[in-house]
Amino acid sequence: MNANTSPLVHLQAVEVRYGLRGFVAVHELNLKIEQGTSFALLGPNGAGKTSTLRLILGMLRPRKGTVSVLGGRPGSIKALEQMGFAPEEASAPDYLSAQEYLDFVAAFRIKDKRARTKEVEELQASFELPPGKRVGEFSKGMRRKLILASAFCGKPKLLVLDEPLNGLDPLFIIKLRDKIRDYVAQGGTLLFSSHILAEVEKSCTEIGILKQGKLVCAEKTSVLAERHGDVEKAFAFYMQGSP
Amino acid sequence: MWNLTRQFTLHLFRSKIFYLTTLFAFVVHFVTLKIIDTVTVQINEAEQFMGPDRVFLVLLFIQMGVGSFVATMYGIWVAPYLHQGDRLPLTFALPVAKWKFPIAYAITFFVLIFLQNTLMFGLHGFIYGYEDYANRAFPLMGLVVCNLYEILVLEVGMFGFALLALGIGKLSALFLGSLVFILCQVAAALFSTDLGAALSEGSPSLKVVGAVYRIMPPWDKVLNQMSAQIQQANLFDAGLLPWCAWLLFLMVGFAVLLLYPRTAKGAE
Repeated sequence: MNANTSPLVHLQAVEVRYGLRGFVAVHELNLKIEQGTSFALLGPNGAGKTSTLRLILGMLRPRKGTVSVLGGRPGSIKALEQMGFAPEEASAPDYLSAQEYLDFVAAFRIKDKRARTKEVEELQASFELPPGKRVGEFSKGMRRKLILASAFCGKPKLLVLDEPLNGLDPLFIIKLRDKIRDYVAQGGTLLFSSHILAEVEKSCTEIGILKQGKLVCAEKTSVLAERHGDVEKAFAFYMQGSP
Repeated sequence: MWNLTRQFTLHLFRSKIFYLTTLFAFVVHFVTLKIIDTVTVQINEAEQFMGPDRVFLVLLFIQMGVGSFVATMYGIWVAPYLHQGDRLPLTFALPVAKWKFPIAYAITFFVLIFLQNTLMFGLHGFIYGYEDYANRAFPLMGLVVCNLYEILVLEVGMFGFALLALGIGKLSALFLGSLVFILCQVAAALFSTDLGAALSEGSPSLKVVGAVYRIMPPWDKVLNQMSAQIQQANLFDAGLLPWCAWLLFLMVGFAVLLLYPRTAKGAE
């Protein structure tokens, strides 16, 4: 994870529309995420968080504006190789075990077979994944852990987590927080979308607040907390106009 | 590519579709061979019997039916599995070129049909004796060309359904795909006869229908081609070109849909 002066994620005047009626999900969005930061994207339902993450992943094309991820086009092999992604609602294929799925993902990210095996074993242990069971037999929390483990696979430069805490037990949330902190401390960059504001305050150094597809605030967590008391009050301020 | 092919083969071998269709193919081929064998014995007295080319032609026709069913299942349920619903973003995020997916699906489907054809050959040997295969009169080349042709046709069918399933959803793909197939057969019945030519002379819209029929995959010629090829194998005269073109077109279409997936406005 080398230092790099240009932003890892750069969105300039981006607009996303859906459907024939052209519902605007993201409007004139400008966003810069520098290397080594942990950036949280906040907003109410329908604010455009998932659309923004899909833009960065390359699954959506902007109607207007430009998107650059890891110095390249979003969705390109080069960008995806350096990126870990855990979508909000996702499940690995039912017919695989956790080890088989991690092996499958790792094969694209880690060329050396020995390093790959080691990484898969470590991920399985640290994300408390059962060895023999197939995903079809997993609980919701287990499925979530597997998706998170696959996002961490290969030590990506950029980690994009969409509502990562959904379905996790409180003990594992604490463990995940430590993992995220370690990851950022080692130079990784985190983009995080969540509704749990207290968790965002603990895990992220910068916050962006989306409202009706527009970025109404992008600030350091410490600055926001100082200005409004805490992140929750800051969020309420930007949503309603008053804390 | 190996990683994807391995993954899809695993999916196949762990799905019920594989075991059900293999069992179905086994039962259908076995029963057919038994019937043919019995009929052969009865007609033998009149010195009429079915040679291996005829027996295999019947088996190939049956295999086309079984294979079409398998292609429909594979195209609608297996190939789009990783690219729809909550698995779509995960698969999309894999750092692998999207064009590799259709190639891996084509290889896996080839393996599936190849296994069923091996079953067909195995059952023939079991009933008629395996020494038949060493016989000089055995139509080996004809069977090779027919199998190649059959697999190509089934791959086109499979990718046709897969493309539709990715584009418009599973159930709509089943109905629309079947409708296109039936319309092709109806058009074939009309336009391969003088009646079609006579009717289209007075009707510009029928001319358009005829033009569309001519660029569609030649489903109506499949059985005739097989009958001709098993007797006199000629790879260059097997009519493979339109099927190859359609296969390429559908595989490219499949890859394009993976590159530009349908993303409905999801819950944020």
